[in-house]
Amino acid sequence: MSEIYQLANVSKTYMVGKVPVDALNGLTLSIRKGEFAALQGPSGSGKSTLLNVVGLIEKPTGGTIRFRDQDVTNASEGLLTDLRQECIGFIFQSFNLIPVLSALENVEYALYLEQKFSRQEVHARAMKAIQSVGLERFAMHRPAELSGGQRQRVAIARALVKEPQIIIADEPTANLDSKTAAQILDLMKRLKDELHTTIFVATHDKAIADMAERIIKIKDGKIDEE
Amino acid sequence: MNKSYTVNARILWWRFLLMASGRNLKRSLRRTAISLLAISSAVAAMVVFQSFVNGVKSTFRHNVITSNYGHYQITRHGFRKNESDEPFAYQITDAAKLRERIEKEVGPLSFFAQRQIFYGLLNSNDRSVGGVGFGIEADEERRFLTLVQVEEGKHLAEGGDLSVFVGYKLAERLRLKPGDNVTALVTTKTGSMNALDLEMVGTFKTGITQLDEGSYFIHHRMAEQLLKVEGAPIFMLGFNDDDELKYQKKLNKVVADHDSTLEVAHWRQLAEFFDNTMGWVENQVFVFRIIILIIATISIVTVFMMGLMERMGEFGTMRAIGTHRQSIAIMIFFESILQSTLGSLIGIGTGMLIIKGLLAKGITMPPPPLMSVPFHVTFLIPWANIPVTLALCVLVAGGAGVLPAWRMARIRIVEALGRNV
Repeated sequence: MSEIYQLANVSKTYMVGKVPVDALNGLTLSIRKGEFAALQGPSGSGKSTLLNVVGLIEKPTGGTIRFRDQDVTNASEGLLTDLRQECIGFIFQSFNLIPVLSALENVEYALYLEQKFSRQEVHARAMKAIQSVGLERFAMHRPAELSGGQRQRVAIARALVKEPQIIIADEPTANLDSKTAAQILDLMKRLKDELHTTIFVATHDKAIADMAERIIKIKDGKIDEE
Repeated sequence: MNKSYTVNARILWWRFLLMASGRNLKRSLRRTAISLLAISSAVAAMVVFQSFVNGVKSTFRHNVITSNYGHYQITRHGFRKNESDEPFAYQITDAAKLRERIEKEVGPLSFFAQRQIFYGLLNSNDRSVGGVGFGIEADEERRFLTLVQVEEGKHLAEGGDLSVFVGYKLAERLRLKPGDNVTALVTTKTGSMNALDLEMVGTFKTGITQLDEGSYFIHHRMAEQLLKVEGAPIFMLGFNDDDELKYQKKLNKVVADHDSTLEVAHWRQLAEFFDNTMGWVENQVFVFRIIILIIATISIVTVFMMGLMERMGEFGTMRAIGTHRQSIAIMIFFESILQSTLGSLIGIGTGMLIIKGLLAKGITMPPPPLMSVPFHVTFLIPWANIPVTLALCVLVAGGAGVLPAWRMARIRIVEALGRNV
């Protein structure tokens, strides 16, 4: 398997008031295409920062990041947005759906955003994604009318509809009860097997860790154990 | 082919953003209502102010025309400049022929009257006061110069040959009552003094301070005798149609063709105070408008910004999943434009309702500069200004969304994502 990400000596320092805080501290990591990697670590270990850096949401303050063999360490905001749009799917802990859009429209959003599909294509693809997460009956419902599990399924459909090369998930089951969390996990596994998408997930959930092919442990902004 | 496909996809994306913008407005109805109230109040105030200016302009215009000026005045070249040195050197004598030509070649006249202007003393009750005398064709003038109101007694047109009609303030200074005798003492064309004993038949009030305080009217034929002149230096005329400007070009041509030493002056050239007064009113209203727009803009930005801050997490999500900054800005700008368009339309409607309802009877204004009587202003819906007002308000209120849009488009994604609960 070739590598989709190569992070070398990456550091990220935040200023809290006038005090610098190192969230990532010379971290080196590779993520291979198609693998399911779980990221674990205590609170404040740098998990979220690493997800943000890998998700090209934040630039590191030191080191280099290569994404698909391209150095994106100092890439422009526009290029990073394009890469996030086309190559990365996000699943958030709080689902982060757009409340004024229906479930189907939330999924369509990800496709309209790319500005390369016709209306019919957008609708057909989004509907297929909604069906794949078993929510066809709720396609026209707004997020407020859906349960937590259903919302997370919409978020998964939104992430998957554009067939991204990697899905980055931040505690995707943290706000769900155990039964719903198990359904979401099954869904992620099934989609991973069918689409061979790389999954990089930060989690405290043992079930997810058990399912992952690789567990990366982070502590004090560095890889602690693999 | 590829290109048009991309354009179509871009249109679809913008349409999607527009749809989301519309729904966002419905999302917080209370906040949207506050913004709409701010916009519509500002627009309604602007419409009412504009209708007020239009009303003042229309009433003031009518008053000026019908008090002393008519639509146009015909004189010989140089009369207005040299009249005080050579008051009788600019007489025009063929009134009837000129009138006939104008009516035939320019348009139907409502009135056409000769006016002799002269300076002299009025004496009565052992008092003498200098004044400006006018020899007028009373029947003609009375028909058109309707603002010359009889204050006391009767109009000159109802008096005999030896009647005088005096400005009410001048009459006060001379302590004149209708029926009193008064003597007009003038210098004739030949330079000799001449006097005429007259009976004061009434006093008039035009509202123009200068006229009311220092002028009097006698019959034109008596002025000819008194001054030993023929004709008059001023021909006043008024058209049947209130849109006198449409006759201007033709009138100039016909008059010049009739006698190349004649010239035509529009009433606005003669009553310079009209433009000064209107400029004064318009400038005041302009300042009001600016203040209103500033207040409305600040209110809109504040309310709008509060709404956007609450949605910051959403913008963070949009940015994270690959929405470009400009798309976020466009969406917010759409919201702002939708809101401002709706608010402006409501404002225009409200403004019209206020004009047709609360202000239907108009208001009485204190006398403007150089006038002495209050005048009644009817509010006129500013139809011609409505599109400009609408465009201006949509632009300003819509533009108020630019700063919030720019700020939201530049949020730190991680920080914004942290606002999602």
